[in-house]
Order: sequence, then structure tokens, then C-alpha cells
Amino acid sequence: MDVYKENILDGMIYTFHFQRFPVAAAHLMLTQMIGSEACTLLYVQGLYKIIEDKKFSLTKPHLLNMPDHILENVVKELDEESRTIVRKTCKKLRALADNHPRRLESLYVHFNDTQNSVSLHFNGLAVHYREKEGGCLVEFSHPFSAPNSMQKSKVIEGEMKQLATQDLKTILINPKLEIEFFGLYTKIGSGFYPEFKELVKMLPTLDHKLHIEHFLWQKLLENKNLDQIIMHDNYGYNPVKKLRDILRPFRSHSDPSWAEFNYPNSDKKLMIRVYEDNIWFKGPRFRRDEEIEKMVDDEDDSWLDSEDESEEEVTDEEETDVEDPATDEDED
Amino acid sequence: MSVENAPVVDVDEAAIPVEKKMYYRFESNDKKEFRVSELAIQQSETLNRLVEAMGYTSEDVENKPAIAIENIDGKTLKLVFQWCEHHKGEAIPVDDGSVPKIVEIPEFDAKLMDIDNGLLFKLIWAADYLNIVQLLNVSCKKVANMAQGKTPAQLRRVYLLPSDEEDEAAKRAAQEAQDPRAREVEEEFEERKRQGGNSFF
Repeated sequence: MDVYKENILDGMIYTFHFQRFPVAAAHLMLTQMIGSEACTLLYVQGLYKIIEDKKFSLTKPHLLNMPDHILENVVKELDEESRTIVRKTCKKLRALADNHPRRLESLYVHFNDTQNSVSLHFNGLAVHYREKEGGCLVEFSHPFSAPNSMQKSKVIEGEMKQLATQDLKTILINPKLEIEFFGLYTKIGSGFYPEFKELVKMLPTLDHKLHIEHFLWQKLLENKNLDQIIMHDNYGYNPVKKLRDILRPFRSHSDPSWAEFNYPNSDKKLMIRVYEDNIWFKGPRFRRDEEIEKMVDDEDDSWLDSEDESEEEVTDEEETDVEDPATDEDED
Repeated sequence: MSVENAPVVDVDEAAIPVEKKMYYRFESNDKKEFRVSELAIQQSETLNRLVEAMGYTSEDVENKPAIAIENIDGKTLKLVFQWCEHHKGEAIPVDDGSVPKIVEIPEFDAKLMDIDNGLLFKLIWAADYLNIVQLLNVSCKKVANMAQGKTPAQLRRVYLLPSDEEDEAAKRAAQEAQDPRAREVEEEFEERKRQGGNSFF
């Protein structure tokens, strides 16, 4: 025997009302169709009244009908993994997930070129990307939860570094994201550039300033095999002036346009130069590349220009630096 | 519906203090009536302000018509008042934006919200309309938790969401339905451009 659910019954009454059937006629037809016990005249009368008062709708309430502040409340409560799923469902939720104020205590990117893998660690979640035949193996785990806690994996079609970079972008794309510690780590013997150029290319595509309170690069002075790193800033957000001031006391005697740092217990040096749009790190294993040099020098030579503009002042400061570095720091 | 037959929210009488308690009567849009304690009402900023403004005495509550809540049905309102009675006297969370709050769903709330999605969404509407902050928090958390372990396709079914393609198609259909001439104008404009004219007019 068919079971008439209340909502189906309501739908039928709604249809009779729409077709302007009187209440009694609607009740009679329903009685003939589904039996007298299923629906009383009083019930039909009551629903007619509610429909006329515009308090009845056949439309099911669903999430996207909610006001934005409620949807924001839902999005705010999503855990990291769910957030990545929700933003793949529809445009509206993606826009909300990508725009709500959010804070990560830490976001670490580990790149291991010997194992051909990338890991993203944030808010107690670790996502590992490994090259695998036919695509990339993506594993989710919660390293700080109980052992054997939820660990999921799946093989996704695509190139490993591209996929990891794409997912990282979905985190960084939120202009209201605040990151307390942002770390980039590589295995000794490699650098992010050029081995992980996908990441380097992705960062300038973000059209907002990243809020990072502490930036942790892999301990530069431990990597004696460092060739070079160039950090590009296409939007001029780098506090160039401040960086130059910080580096001023470390200027190289052989080339004052570069700051120079000694590796611990070694005569090897790390050189840093701040341009308007780039920061250039040269490691002990630096190999000249005319193309890169031309690119950087063509872009900007204002480090030297700024020196020229304040030549006398800089000279004074240099003298001060030698005699009393603390005074210079205070002035800065 | 008479007050005698009204579905009254269950109250644990043993837990009620000896002093005389004030109750208010509310009526849903499908004429279901509820008696709710004054303390429970305080969980709802909207209702609390309303009863304060009305200044009812115990006699007024009995003699005057129940306060109508026009846009919430009885099924939903029953859940709302059950929640308010259970959490009466509890501090109402204040979101000052300083410390990100962690929302936990207590056992009672979890059982109360063990309902179909349609009713859950109505409950959220009601909590928002009646400004019951903590009920809104837990119900939104419940909806957020529904995403756990789902694929995007499964989640679209749960939340009744359109896919990007459906979204686009609906948007186009809505635009065309709104202005059937718009497409013709656009095509005419494109044609004129192809013919080399700079000005449309």
C-alpha cells in the first residue's frame, strides 16, 4: 500500500488551491484518492488558510537561501579538511570560504626533491603529495592526534608540485588570512628555486598582501650548498627601506651594495641584496647566470641609487657603525 | 487551539525553584501555543526585549492573547523553546572579535538537532530571527560538521547546492528571463561592431 507522506499531501492540497478548487471539493478529491483517514476537512481548511496567508511554500529550505551572515557562521566552523571540500561545491560557498577572517598559527611547506614529495602542514593537518605512477598520491593525516587517527589517501591525476601549489593557493588566496608562522623547508642540498618553481610562480599571482607575522626560511646559514634565491615582489609590498636599514650594518667591504653573513665555523658567506622588487640571496655555491643577472639588474638598480642620493649621510653612518653599532640601531 | 491542548515545552518540575515563576505564552504561525519560562526567554534577545517592552503581569499572560511569532512554525518553535528551557540561566556568548571561540555541541543539543536537514535549516532561521546566539552557533556547527568525510558531490546533495555549471546555467537563464531583449541587443551590437561602426547609436 502506498504511504502518503505529509509533505506529499501538502503538495496536493497546494495544487488544488492553485487550481482554485473550493476546500470541500479538494477534500472530497483527496478522500477519493487516498482515503478519508489520511486527511480531514479541518486539515485542508487549515492549510488553505496558511497558503492564503503566504506562510506556506513547497520550496524546501536549503543552505544557500540562508542570509550571508549565517553562511559565514557555517563556513567559520568548518575544519581545515572540510573547508577544502566545501570550497569545491559551489561558487557562493567558495567565495565565502575564501574570504572569511581566518588565522593559522602555522603553515609549513616541506619540499623534498629526493623523494619527490611536498607536504603542507597547518592547523594540525598534514597533506602529503607524492609522485606516483598515473598521478599524485595525496594523503591527509592528523599527526598530532591519536596514532592511527583518520588518515585518508587518494591518487589524483596531475603533476605533484602543481597539485600541491594549487592547494596551497586555495589557502593563501584568502585576503583575510593571518599566518603567525609561515615556513618553507627543503632537504639540505636543494632550494625552493628552481626546484620548486611552481611555488615561486604562484606567489605573485595572489592579488593581495600576505599577512605573515614570522617568516621561517630553511636555516639559510646551514645550507652550504645554496646557489641562489631570488624573492620577487611584483606589488611593492616588501618593506624595502626597513630591510635595507636592517642590512646596512652587514654591508660587504668588497661590494657595499651587498650585505654579507658568515656561515658558522666556516669562511663561506651568504650575500643578500635588496632591490625595489627583489631580494637576492647568493649562497656559497652561487653560479653566475647572465640571464638572471641581467633580469634583476634591468628591473631595478635603486639600491645603488638610494646610496647615491644619501652618499654623505651613509658615509657618516658607516663611520658610526664601526664605532658604535648600537647607536645606529637606536636611530633606525 | 486552546491553551489546555497546547504542546507545552517539557520542563523538569523538580529542577524549578520554589519561588513563583513567570511564564509567557507564544503562538507559532500554525497556531501552536507554547508556555515558556521567563528565564528561558532570556536566551533570545528578540523575545526578551519584546516581553520587557510589553511589561506583562502574570494575569496579563493568562488573559491576553498569546504573543504571535508569525514566521516560525510549531515544529521549529518547539525545538527552539526546548533548547531555551534546557539552557536557561546560561551566559550568552558575546562575540567581541577578540578570541576565536571554539563551539562544542553538548549532548542535549546533539540529540535535539538529530533531525532532517529541512528542519535543521528552519531551526537556524529561527535562531537567527529570535537572536539566540548560542543556538545559532551550535546549529551552524552542526551544518559545518555535516561536511566531514564527504566528497564535493555528496556534499552538494546534502546541502542541496548547485554545481558551478548549474550555477552558471541558472544565472544565464535568469538573465535571459529577466530581459529577453538583452541578448538581441547584444547580438545587434556585436554585428555593428563587426561592420566597423564605432558607435552603437
